[in-house]
Amino acid sequence: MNKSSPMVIKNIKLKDDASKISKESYDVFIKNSLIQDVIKSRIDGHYENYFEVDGKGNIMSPGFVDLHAHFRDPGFTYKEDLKSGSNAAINGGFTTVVLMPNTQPAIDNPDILGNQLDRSNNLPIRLLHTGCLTQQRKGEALLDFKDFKSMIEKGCVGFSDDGDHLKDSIMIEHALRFFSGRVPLMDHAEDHLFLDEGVMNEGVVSSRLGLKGRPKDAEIRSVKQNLDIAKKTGGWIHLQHLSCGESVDLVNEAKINGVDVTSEVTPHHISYTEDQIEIHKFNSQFKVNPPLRTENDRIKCLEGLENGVIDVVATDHAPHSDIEKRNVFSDAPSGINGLENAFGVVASKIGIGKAIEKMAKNPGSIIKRISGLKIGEIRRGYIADLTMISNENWILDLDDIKSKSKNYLMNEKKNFLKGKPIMTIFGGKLIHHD
Amino acid sequence: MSFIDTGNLNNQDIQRLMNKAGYFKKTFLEKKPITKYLKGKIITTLFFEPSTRTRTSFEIAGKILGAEVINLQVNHSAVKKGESFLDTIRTLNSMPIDGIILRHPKSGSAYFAHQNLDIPVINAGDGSFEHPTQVLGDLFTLKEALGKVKNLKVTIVGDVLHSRVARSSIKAYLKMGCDITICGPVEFLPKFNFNYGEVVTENLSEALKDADVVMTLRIQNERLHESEKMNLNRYISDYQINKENLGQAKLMHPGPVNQGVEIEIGLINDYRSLIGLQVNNGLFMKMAILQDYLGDQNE
Repeated sequence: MNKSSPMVIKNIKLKDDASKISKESYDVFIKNSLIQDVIKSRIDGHYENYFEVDGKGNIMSPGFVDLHAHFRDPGFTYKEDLKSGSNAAINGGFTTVVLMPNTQPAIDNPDILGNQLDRSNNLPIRLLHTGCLTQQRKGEALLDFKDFKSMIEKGCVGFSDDGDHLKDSIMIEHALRFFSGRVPLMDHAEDHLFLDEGVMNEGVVSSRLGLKGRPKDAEIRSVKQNLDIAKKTGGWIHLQHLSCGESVDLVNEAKINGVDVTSEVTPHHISYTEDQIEIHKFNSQFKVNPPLRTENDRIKCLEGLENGVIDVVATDHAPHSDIEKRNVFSDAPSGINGLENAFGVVASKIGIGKAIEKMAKNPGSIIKRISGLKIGEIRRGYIADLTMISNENWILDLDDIKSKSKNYLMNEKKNFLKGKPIMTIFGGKLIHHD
Repeated sequence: MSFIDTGNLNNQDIQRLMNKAGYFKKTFLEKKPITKYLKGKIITTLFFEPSTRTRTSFEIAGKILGAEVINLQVNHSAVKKGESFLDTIRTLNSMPIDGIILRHPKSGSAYFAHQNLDIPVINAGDGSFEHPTQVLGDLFTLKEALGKVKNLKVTIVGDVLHSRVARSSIKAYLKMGCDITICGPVEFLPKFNFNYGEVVTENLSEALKDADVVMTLRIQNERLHESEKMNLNRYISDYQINKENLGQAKLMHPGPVNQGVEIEIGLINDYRSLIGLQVNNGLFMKMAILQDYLGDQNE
């Protein structure tokens, strides 16, 4: 079989406009890497000249799009590299992944970006790149505007100092004015002045465990300030990994007031709270940044995701080696893997249809807004990036993990994941099949 | 089994350990031989923080019960050469050791060691989290001095925020049916309450009212200087325990004591002070814990 020859995926369910899974079955036609047509399935339908794949009543989603992942390459390839990260992404049903620029060297000039783009060309999925906001990610000085411009022209989909903090908010204002909505400023919103070397959420649990806390105020103040700047400048701000209920309220208010804001939440922030650190006796797996918050925050983030205040789920896939992560809580690095179980986690919280909206359609439309790429929908003329989902409960098996890091949050409840990605098609080519 | 966290102990566990400590104290004072209890056992102390009293006390406790006690000098070990904590404890795991007595500056390190070792870990203090052997010894002391540890009003005064003794005490005393009040200047109280059922106040006279026991915590001078809001004189004038404000309560202190700071000079030797007895009884409680957790079960 020629994997790029015209193909029809028969007998599949689709997400409808209300993010419900359709009762009817459809056939999706793919030709020249694009979706050629979508029609209701016909009984005994047979299509000449098309390679036929029987979808067996499974659900077809647009390929998942992750707006936030760390592949650690170059610089920390013992944790992950472009290839292993891509394989992990495919395993999780992703066809497009946006990489953060906190590599070594950091992606802070057009040459390094160009090199990353070249290295991403031969990989089986679409890797999109972001650049640093500040030189060497030091938070001190913005990149030269000519570099911003050149990097945007090369295909940079946003700028972020994710994981670090800008020394001065005036830089955000200048950057937002310069980007003027062409690309988002992807903002890791935490005010470093409030962090005080905290290692978990500041609250009852940090008091009990004798660990230094990262106050919610660090995020809330930063979200508020940067939304104000976005409003003032008219620039596009994309708030990364929101973790506080108050942040969700602020984004809601900003959206009502017409601020150009999009936002994301991670699978772990809608699934877990700070209590896990006490329950699991300082298990460093639960050390993430921003930290897991309270049950009230978790619920507010989940509600914000469901009601549209939060646009997308992004994994913040942050692999570390076992030897680094397996350490005393305060000495272990922050971050957990996300790509390979993200969909199952999210669908277990909001249902498969809604998860498709938040992990394919909405992030796809953000990428379309930036670059014009037609991804995130199963519609005529869109790129044929597709992920087939089996409506079953499942569990991520350690042996199936493709990432170099095994650090996925594993729920002790058996088969808690819902909706398993079983087949991935990228640009009309079958790249993964269970 | 490891001994890490007073939160894991129930009332019966604590009673059992107090009974054992009482037995060891009596037997030891009667000069009867008790080396059989840990005969043939090898115990390692692994201290990542300076400590004289706790380490020595454990060493003596182990030796009295017949164990070989090896003090691992962390400063001279591979840790100084950059070996990770995990590697250090794993090395010990592959040796014929029956138990590790650990002190470490990071909260949660005792649990971490336990999670990565097959041999029992005795927590001799980890960060600001737990110091269970100290607190069990204190409970034993109170039982001896007052005849009971139930229905007491216990007030803890000082730097609760950074204190592992405070965290251990609150959990253990509440389990024994005591009321717990914590008191100190706002800088020394946790920003969020523990919500275990403790009463929190900045007002010392309120905290001391009807107290049966006052436990003062060591004030670390370097922490005072960190805070612009507070100085030593203010702490002394507002929170020092002295002959008058102590009332009829018993005085405790986990040591080492800064006389003239957290307590008035000389109060350590007052008739209400249990501080000397705490040190003495700490030894017998350590014997009880070592025997209970590392001894053969048929003993």
